[in-house]
Amino acid sequence: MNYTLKKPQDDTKKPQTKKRFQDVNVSLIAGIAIIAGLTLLGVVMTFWPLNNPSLSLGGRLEGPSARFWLGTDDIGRDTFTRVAQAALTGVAVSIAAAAGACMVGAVIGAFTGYVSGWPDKVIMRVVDALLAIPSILIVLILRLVLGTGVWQLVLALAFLYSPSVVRVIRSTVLVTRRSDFVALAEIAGVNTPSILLKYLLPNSLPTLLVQGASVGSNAVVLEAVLSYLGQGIQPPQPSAGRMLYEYTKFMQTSPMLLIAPAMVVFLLTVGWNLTADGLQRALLITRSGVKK
Amino acid sequence: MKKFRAGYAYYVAQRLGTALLVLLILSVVVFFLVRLIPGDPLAGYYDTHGTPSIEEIARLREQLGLDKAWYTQYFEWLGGILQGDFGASLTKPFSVGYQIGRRLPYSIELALLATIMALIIGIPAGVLAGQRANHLPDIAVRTGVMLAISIPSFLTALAVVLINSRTLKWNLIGAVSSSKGIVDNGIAMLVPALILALPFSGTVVRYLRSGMIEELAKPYRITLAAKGLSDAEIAYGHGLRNAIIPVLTVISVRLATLVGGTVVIENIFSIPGMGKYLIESISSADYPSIQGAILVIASVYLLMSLIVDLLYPFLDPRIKSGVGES
Repeated sequence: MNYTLKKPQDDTKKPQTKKRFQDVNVSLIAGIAIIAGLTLLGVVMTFWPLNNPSLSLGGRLEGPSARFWLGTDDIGRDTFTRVAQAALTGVAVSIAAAAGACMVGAVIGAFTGYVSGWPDKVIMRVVDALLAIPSILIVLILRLVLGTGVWQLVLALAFLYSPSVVRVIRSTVLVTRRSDFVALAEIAGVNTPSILLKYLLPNSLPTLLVQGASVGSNAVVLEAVLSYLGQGIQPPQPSAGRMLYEYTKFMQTSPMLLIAPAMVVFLLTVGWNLTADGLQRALLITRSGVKK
Repeated sequence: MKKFRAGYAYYVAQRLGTALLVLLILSVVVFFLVRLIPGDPLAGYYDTHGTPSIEEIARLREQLGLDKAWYTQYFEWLGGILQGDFGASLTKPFSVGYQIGRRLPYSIELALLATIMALIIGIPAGVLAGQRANHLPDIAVRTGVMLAISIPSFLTALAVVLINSRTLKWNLIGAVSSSKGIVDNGIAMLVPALILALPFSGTVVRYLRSGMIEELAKPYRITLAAKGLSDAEIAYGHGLRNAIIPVLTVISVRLATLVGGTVVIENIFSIPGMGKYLIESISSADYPSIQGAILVIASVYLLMSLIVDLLYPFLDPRIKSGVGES
């Protein structure tokens, strides 16, 4: 075993009986709370909207009021409801992209790490090449080919981020496959897919979760960027990036139209990053064999 | 030295070969993926020129070579590019090569400015943090680094634009134009370049800081201090030389993010560079322009990282000798 699972702070001499403040995983709790909060807000605003977001219910560019909490946009739609729905879109797209990238990446990474030899060489060359090309170029090409729907966007993002997962999972599998229990399973005649899924991948799960959260954070930003450039979520579906683009021209008169979606993107990024940091601390992977 | 030259020639050939191979693969991928796009490649042309008659469509297809087999099309396209001819744009009156020639300088200027700024900010900050590790300057620098790395430059750019619009009201958006000289445009690009440079400099600081801490803990520091060298002389004259080497590898990795970032920043600040050209071409379904733009942006990135890779042996004598041996 090259992993050592340690509890945080276990090199201090104080007794571990009382739960101290340092032991509370603030990052993980805060990160999950931010994402869960925005999801809840988005779900509530999607099924029980404050105001119908596709109707012009108010005047043009109204300020915040009791009815329109964050004011209205240039055609009188409620900003708050739209931003909340955009947040849900952001959460959903990033979770789906991260899940997709993790599934594909974990399977390929475990396979290439376990089998090694020429398939490993070929796959890792492709992975290196994909990681070398600026990600926005890859995703723009994929958007062109796949089309502009939400599912196509998720697919493109999942494809884009799977090479990084492959690399991380491969490095953990390279360590685990040398363990005795894998050798025993091989002797017992367990078939390769079972060894990958039941023996190797469970040991890579902590790494996978941390990597998944960091993919989520990157996916949120890239989704916003793509939507800003008109290549992501298409109207009328609310998207923070799209709103940032459309409302740039109103920044002199109603800055709230820009601040609100920017805050959504910012909070989601921070939420995912905190989750990644917190998971890293909670699962505390100290790699002694693999140099990061 | 002779040994080094032979080794270095091999190293250059290897790097150059890899870069060319990636470029060739990319050209194939771009060419075929663009052909996989559903719909008529001439759709963008119809949008701007009105619906032509059937004879005219046939004439246009022949003119663009769309009636030929795919491999003929690919080799004609590639052969043209090698001669600097990227084909004709479907929606714009100028050829793709002309457009790229006009726009590429802005993108290169922006990327270079951002790299220089990242080093100007990152190196002193990294040395300071390393010298005063775990003291107030280090804590301040580390907090700054954390913010610079975790806030995406996309959001920083929008925040700057928004705050500027209500306070200083500098002319930031659309300030870069072809009517100005390279210096004036450079000044107009300072703010966008700074925004791109911030996360970059954060990475530089992180690596430089740990390198400096390691270097300054080595025994030669005591010798130098005993000789009467000041802290600054030790840090910049001796420590930095060794600590900067890992930073170079980071620069090479960061360049992909930087080049990707220029695409976004150019669109936010309306800089008429390659990124803006690419997005405009995608929006108007202009195939030859999309292919040319993606290929050129990728080439710029590959060229920049190639330069860093080729400089590397000169900056690290250990690798220099290693290159000679292998």
